[in-house]
Amino acid sequence: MAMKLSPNEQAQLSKSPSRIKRIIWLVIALLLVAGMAVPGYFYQKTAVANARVIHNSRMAPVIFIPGSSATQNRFDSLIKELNSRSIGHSYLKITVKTNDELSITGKIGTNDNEPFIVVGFQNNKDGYSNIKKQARWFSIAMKYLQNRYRFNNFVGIGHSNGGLIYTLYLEEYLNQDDLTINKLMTIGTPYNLSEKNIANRTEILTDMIKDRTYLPKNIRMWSIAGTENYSDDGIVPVESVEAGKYVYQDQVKQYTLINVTGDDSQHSDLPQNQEIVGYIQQYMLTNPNQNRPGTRNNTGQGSRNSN
Amino acid sequence: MLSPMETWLANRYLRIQQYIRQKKVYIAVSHTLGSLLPFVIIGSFLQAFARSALMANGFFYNIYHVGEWLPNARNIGQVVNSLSDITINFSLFIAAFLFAKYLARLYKLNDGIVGWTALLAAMILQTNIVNGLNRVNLVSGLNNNGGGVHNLFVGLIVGYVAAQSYRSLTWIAAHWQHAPVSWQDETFVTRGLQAIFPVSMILAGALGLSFLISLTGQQGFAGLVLYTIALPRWVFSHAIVTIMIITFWNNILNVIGLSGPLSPFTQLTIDSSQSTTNLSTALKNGSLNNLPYPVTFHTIYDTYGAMGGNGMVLVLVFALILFSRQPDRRHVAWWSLFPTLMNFNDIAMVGFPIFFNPIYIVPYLLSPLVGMFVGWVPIHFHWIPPVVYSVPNTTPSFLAGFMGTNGNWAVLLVSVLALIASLLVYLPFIRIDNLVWLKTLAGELPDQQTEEVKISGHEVIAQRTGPAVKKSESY
Repeated sequence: MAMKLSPNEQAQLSKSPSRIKRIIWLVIALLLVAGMAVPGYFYQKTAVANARVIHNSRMAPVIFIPGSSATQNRFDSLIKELNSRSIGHSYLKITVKTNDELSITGKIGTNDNEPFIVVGFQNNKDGYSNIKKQARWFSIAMKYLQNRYRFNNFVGIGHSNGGLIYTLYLEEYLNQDDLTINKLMTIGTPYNLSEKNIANRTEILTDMIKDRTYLPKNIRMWSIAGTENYSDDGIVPVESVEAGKYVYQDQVKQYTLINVTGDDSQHSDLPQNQEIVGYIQQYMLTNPNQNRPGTRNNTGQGSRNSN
Repeated sequence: MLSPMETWLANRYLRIQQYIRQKKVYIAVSHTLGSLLPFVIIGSFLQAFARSALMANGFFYNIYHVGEWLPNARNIGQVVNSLSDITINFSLFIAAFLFAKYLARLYKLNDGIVGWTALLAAMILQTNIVNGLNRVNLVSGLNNNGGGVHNLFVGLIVGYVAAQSYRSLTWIAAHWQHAPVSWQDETFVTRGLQAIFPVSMILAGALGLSFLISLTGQQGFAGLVLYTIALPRWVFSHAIVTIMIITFWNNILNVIGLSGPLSPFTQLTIDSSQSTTNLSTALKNGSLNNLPYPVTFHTIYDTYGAMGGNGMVLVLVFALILFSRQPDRRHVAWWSLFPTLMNFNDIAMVGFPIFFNPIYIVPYLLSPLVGMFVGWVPIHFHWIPPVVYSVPNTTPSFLAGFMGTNGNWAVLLVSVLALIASLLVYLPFIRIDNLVWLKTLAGELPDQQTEEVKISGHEVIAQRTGPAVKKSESY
């Protein structure tokens, strides 16, 4: 394919491009670079400012999810009890409506590093399909909370089906780069629904076991079962609570199963059970008594916390 | 016109060109890369577009807030990205097919059968037989074991071995079998029948090898090769000399078509504990002074040594647009400009090409070292802060330093200096490349097409009917 080129043609080929064209291209290139650099600069300023706020945030809220048929007020008496043993925890309640909107009551104190937050749902019915929806609604509430209050870690407590919602949320929605869950406590959570025989795995248990590898590896987890008699707490069979080990055991950092009997060990009474309130205070709270401006540090009653 | 050193290099290069243009392997590689180019251009363009503008952590997606005015962006991104997967991440197999086919043409074998056998062999070798055939590792995402352009060497090896085995097996078969019986001439059917023995032997060989490979626990041949050359983790200490040596080794692997330890998808450089410590110190103090680890792979290599992907390819693309006289180089440079800005250098590797191209291998190896040195000096003397904050994926590399320091102008200046310094490394080689092209055009250097005709009696790919190269290009 070699073609003989005349010296004229060779000169033509080795000639430099015209200066004007070069300058035009240079201007266009500079404009394009500026079009990337300027928005990039402003984007990065915002991103770094946000990262700084989140990184330096000291807030680690305790977030409660009630069980089926319970509203955002489910934990009122529990939190009253907790606040009677300690001071300085503000209380925020959120209900996620079926159209993804949030209705919010209460507020978080300015210097509160460990507020209590309850997330309830307008549709609080039982059943796997509803629980799946509730997990999604919970993730919406969490996104709102994280944007509003800028925390990067939290502690979770779920009563009854609230524990299932937590498990689904952790497996499907939690972005572990953004948010860390330090501890999780589920109280009377029926991991195998109302099934007594562990050989009969329900759909929800099968799904949770299948996705268990997505659980954060560093959670410390307590699962509390109540028993009125030798088999259940009146509603949830103890075998169903125990089935949680197939999901959490050997997946998370620590899994502890606690069986509570005696007074107030009926399913619905569990959140008010004095023993369980003690566990919450002991295991879940890091700052039982917080210093707030104008409040004297109270180290009196209820300082069973070892931390 | 050329400096004495350039003249010396040019003479050496001319001799190299004269030699390799007669080599069957080189001829077949050139044609393979040329035929691979359309797929790579399409795939790389889609990949760069999807990853920068349609994915949540992409550069354009973030700075132009694409998610807000194009709500379906991420879904569209998934689709576009999978389209790019089946073009660019299929390159290993395409290369095995094409290389075997062109070698077969040069050896006057049945190129269709040889090419297809090589493709099947490559697929078998990328299958983990122990894990089961349903887990065929063809499009395994953008990981190291995938069939992307960066692992092209594996495809070429498979193609070469398949073609050579076919050749010797046909020879064996011809001497072993009886001559065709006289009452039947050779027909299309008998030509096909002759291939049964070599094809079945090659496929059986591939199957056996694949079984052995899956016993090692690796996902396919490419995975095994990469595992073999992988460096142990302790090697990656964050000192400037180590960084330079590993970059050099990585880029040597790159030019022969293997992804080295610093592949952009391993994230090894960003996810080090040093980077994390730097970041949390910076976030805590609110300033970039006195960071514990100013020199890391991330602050030096990612920022100043890999502009436009490994080997400072962005610089080469700029330089070719500005200084090359060859229309084909300039066209490819324009095509690769956008993906290279987004740090995807595949088009450049295949298009100029950089793979197996003696003229660009040397600057490809040297320019990152020069760029990193330019970045390292001011960091070492604390004139500029190192890069700390994370930036979106696919951020153009000359902005990565600027944005990663939250808008430090001195860093931007140093990035531009590193770019110019690497440009100076590439420049003499581009001038020599121009010279060789002119000599070939003028007929002083035998061109490759002539050599092909000498070897096999025909050009490997027939010349197209229209004019292939414009005699003069207006700038």
